[in-house]
Amino acid sequence: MARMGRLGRADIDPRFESDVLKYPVKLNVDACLQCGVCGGSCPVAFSMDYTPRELVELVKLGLKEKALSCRAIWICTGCNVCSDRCPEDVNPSEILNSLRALAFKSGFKVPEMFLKMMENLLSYGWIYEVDEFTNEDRADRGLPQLKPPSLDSLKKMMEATWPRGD
Amino acid sequence: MVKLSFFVGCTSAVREVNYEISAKAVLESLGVELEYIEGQSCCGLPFRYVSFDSWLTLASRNIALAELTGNPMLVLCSGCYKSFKEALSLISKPELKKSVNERLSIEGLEVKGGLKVIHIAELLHDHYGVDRLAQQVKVKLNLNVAVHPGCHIVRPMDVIGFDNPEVPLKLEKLVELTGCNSIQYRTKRECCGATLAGIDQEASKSLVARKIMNIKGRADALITFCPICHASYDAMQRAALKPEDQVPVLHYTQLLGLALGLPPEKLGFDYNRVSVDKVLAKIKNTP
Ligand code: SF4
Ligand code: SF4
Repeated sequence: MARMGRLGRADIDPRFESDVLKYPVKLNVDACLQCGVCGGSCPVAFSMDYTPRELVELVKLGLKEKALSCRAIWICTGCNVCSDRCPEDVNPSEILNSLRALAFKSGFKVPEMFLKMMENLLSYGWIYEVDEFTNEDRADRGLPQLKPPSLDSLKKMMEATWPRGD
Repeated sequence: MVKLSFFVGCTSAVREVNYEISAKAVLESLGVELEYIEGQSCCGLPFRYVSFDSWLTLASRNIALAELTGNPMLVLCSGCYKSFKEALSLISKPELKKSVNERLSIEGLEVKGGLKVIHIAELLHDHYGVDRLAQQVKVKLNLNVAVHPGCHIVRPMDVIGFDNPEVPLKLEKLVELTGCNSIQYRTKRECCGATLAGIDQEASKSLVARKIMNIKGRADALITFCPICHASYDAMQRAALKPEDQVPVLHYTQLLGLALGLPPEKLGFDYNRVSVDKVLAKIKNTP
């Protein structure tokens, strides 16, 4: 991994792997063979700074800062092909979910898109803005109006689960 | 046929109403009754990527609402399909179910689990029956089309289990019964890259362009089974490619609607972004 530059002991967080594994879905980081099937199958590896195979290795090595600040975790589309094809059930797509969740929780930069979608969710119940034009248009087509769900309860549920208010 | 509880999903409801319009028209003509689930919201999937608990709560909340109806839940979107099927599989673990229900109790809801969640392609192929559907076809469309299966209608495969993820033959069959020839092309299995659009426009454009350039000149249209895939190709193509390189993108239910003899005005074609005129003209001229 040429992009690693010089690394020292200070770059290694010995608890990183166990933090990643504290995820409600089973991950088998240690079983990874570094075979590269995941990266070879990944539709967006061309735009990543680390392939999914390399990300698994970063986790194993405890290179937390690199893994949580890289571009690749946000480029991943969550397509699941890597996990379906992995010969060792390592579950790379869910490892990436765990990495993104950790990055989010630990204050690393998160694409604006996610915050915007949460904002819309809390205002409309949907990830897009639903205004009167949306509903006029729907009415013209004989489709029922999009009514917001109970936004108060939704807000409370999200407050209990969403790591950041910004 | 039983009545189904209908979960519309954000993208169909707001950005891709032609999917909702055509799906409803098709199902109505097949005698399937739909009832919109009261109080539904986003399925939660977009939040799966940054907050597991926010996702599972949102997914379970919608599942709980659907469970109140006593009927299976129909979804149009492959993302919603994955969201609900994964949530149902995870809440079979008592600890997760317990913590989710604590949060749902804020609204007086409780998720039980065991809800049947059906994607419209699954409904048509497995439940309505692909042979029975073929018998309903009134117009053999005679188009060359490229199928875009998309990811979550088949993946993760251990949770979805609807069709073979590497060779989704059921989807091919659904397309072929309309009288179309489904072409083979490289990158057929490739993801639409929807989430990329909000993160790296250029990467998103190149992914979309790659698929379209592989079918251009050979396919009259690209066929999708998911509103998010449809939005990716239909909208992003216009930014990524010159007009002469663009290929129309049809929701499967628009294609099926034409084959069932429904008038194009009832299938929401005026919402398609890349012009579908050539496709419609070709069908009109079919003897
Ligand atoms: S496919 Fe699985 S075993 Fe192979 S490199 Fe990727 S995660 Fe490791
Ligand atoms: S889930 Fe992410 S990392 Fe895995 S193949 Fe898909 S885009 Fe690549």
